[in-house]
Amino acid sequence: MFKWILTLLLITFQYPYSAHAFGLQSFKDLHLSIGTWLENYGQVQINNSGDTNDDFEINPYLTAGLEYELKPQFSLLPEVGWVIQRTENDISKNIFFLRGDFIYSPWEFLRLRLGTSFVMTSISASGGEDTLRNGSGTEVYYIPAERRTATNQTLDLGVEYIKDNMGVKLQNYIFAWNESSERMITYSLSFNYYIPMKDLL
Amino acid sequence: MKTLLLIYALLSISNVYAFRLITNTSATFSSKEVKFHVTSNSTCSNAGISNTELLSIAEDAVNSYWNKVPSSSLRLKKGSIYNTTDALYLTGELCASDSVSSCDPATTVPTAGDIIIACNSNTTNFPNSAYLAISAPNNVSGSKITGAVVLINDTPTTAFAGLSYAEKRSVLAHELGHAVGLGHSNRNYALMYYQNSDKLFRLSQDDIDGITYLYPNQVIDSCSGILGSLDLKNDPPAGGKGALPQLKINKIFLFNMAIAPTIGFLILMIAKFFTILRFKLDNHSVVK
Repeated sequence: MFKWILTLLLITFQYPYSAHAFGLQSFKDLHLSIGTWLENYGQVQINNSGDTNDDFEINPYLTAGLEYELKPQFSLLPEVGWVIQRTENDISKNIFFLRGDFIYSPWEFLRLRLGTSFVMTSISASGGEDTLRNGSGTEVYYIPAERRTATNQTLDLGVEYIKDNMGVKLQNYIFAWNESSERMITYSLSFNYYIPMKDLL
Repeated sequence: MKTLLLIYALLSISNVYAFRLITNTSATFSSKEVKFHVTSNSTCSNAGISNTELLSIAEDAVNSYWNKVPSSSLRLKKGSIYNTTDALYLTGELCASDSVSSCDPATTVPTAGDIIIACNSNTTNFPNSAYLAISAPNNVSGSKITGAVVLINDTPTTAFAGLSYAEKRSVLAHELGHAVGLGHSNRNYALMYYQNSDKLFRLSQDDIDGITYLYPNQVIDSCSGILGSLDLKNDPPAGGKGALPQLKINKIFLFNMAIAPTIGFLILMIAKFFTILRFKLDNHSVVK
């Protein structure tokens, strides 16, 4: 399975390196999107009754990419994205990602996506102390004093409904896709806007 | 103005982070795989649990909580029954008596590598039954934790014995969180909140962010990692079919094969895009 996916990704991403593939007409759209990032959806505790985060929540994120048409119905879409910084209790968190999708459009209104992301989770704070409850008293704990970044590679699947130049996309990002015991899935729901390259050039 | 307020409201509705650390140096174990052991002399008669049960629950605890975080590289592993006759694990004081606000590791509980779990009946550690367990890295040098101790309340008034299996599991997971460097969270649904609950079935996002901060997963973590490793073993079995080098593909190599072309492709596309744009603009100027 591992090798199969690797082979598929290699074929997918190596193809456009050929000079033949880089024609002007192959640049189809500039792609911009805004949406919400549903981190570890349904898998983390949100109250002391044992409920999980399976409600819709808004964590805004933005992406930009260029769509490259391989042939009718098939295209590639590399993009960069940023989940807008969230700060609370002196701790900030940013998520950046660099990703690529292989897109298949069986019908004009529908697009199926298979891709991979390089996700960078950056957590930072500026240090300090905090006194919190411990047992029947209190104790001093420490606020992180630097930035640290975790990186993950994800396997992504998505589906998008398109009308004219706009689309609505539901995508998932499977963390630890090859380790079932630690697998976590993040979802995103976004509104996408495609600007035809011929309008830009 | 309304739009700005809407945007502000949207940005305000988000997850919150409140994890804290147990040391001011963000100390961590240097190894990404840390073992925990239970002392052989822990009878845990008041806590009502055997040392093998304790080890088993601790294993379930790490597999149910800390080992399930893909953005963290830390993996806690079940060790063994740690052979010792040192009674200080059972009776010693963990935090120095002159600790005013935080737990400065005392010298009375022995230090060791890895994480040592024991049942302890010292009433300075456990002044009342509200304390189910305590723990701290007690072998710390700078930002490096070499060893930590988790002590279960084994005093005659301990409430540990009356806990359900799920509660014992979350108590152990909480203490192991301290052992690897996490402090308390002020979120009452976090595993690292100071009070236990029988409904802590999963980590909160706060716990996940804390362990991710301390032990961030690195897809690329060294120069050799950037290149990946496609190892041709140099010592194939002599002669016969096995003489051909064996191919060993590691995770980083797989990552590079998947992501590097994507990065390259993105750069090429951006470069090409601007080249074409410049060409078009130049042409446009000429026509004018």
